[in-house]
Amino acid sequence: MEEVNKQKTRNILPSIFICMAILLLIIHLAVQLLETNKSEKEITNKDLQWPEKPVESLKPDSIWEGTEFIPE
Amino acid sequence: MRFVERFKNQLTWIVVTSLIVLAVFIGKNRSEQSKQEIIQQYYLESKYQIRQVNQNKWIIYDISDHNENLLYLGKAYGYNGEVEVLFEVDKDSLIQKTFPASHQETPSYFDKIIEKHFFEQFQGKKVAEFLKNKPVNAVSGATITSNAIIQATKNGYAQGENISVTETKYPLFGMLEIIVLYLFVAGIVMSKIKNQKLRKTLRWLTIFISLIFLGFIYNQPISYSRLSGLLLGNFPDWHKEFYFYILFTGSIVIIFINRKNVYCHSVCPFGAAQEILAKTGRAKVFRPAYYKKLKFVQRFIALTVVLAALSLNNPVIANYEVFSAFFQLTANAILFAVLFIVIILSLFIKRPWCHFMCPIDSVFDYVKLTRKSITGLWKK
Repeated sequence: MEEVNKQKTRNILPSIFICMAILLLIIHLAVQLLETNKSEKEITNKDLQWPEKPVESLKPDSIWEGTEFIPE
Repeated sequence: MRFVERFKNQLTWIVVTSLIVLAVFIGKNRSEQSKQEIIQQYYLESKYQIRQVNQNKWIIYDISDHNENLLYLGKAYGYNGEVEVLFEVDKDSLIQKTFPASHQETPSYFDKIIEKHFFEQFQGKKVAEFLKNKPVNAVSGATITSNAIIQATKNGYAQGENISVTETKYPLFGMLEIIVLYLFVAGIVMSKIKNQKLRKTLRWLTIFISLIFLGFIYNQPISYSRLSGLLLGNFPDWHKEFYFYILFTGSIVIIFINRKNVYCHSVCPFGAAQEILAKTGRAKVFRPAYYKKLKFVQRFIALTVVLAALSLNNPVIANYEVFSAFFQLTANAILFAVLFIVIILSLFIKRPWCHFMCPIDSVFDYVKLTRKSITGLWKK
């Protein structure tokens, strides 16, 4: 009987830790699910900081050909 | 009795497979944001006028200062799926802004890209430079995602301007492929060797090779989000990532041939890390009376998560392993807490992550169930 009780006690501690880890994983998954719905625009506006216009300047090339824009 | 068990297995397999197929169907039919809608998120109608030139190119006219720039959209394959990048080019052919249009990368890696100001590196670079080389540096620890963004810029410009580009050639068989092959062969050989001493030596050699190379140097274990991406049709470029196909198909083929899960036993670097911790703490096998219930929880979470990832067409949702936290110290606080618990547990019980939490273990259980269901068809 004593041996059985000892065995039970030995099993309880790892089980508590395992359940705790599983619970944390579930919380992580829930947070992740909510975060993935965050729009990309939010990331851009909040975190990307654009420096001033680049100093380096090169001559225009062919990429602008035929792309003349007529504002409405 | 055996018949009942076989029937139960087959029924479980049919239910799980049907749910996965249904989730893929739902995910693939989800309406995605159109390119025009994505662009309008950044360029508000009140401030800009937009005209589409072709599939990958737009003209952006700034109403306030009458300035016009070109905008390109490019795509490339990242870690879990496609990465779409928008970039604005001025009249001097210099990139002004680069920003993400959409991606399916692991959030912790993408956050790293943002934190390290990777997108800002593009500003002032001549766009044509991207056709010849890599004018910006990849962020260390998020190399695959960084390279995908660079590649997407190159693709967007080339497609927008109808320029044909020669693809970079990669060696099919590199160091990583050789290591993965060695680990598989060693795993199979170990299961056949009878000499205990030789087996033990080979086992420790394999553990260290897996931990150092597949773990710390390359950090390329099979990840659940990547497997979910595969189900959604996001196949990594096999020229670049041939090792992944060896890892994935090798693991499945071996299970089908001799029922052995060589990947978890000998190839997985995190399994190797737990083995070392177990040896340090003289850990014991943990099989409580409610072992089956804990196994059920592990599989239930894995199935629920993959169904969510597939039906929402977003493999990132399936990312909950602690591999990156351990090998690259890249993860959120919750995953670090899980890792800490797993490390402590590994000192006392053998492979706690593999037995009670890892989704990949559940994937291979499903492969075993598939094998059982197929072989059960002709056993009466």
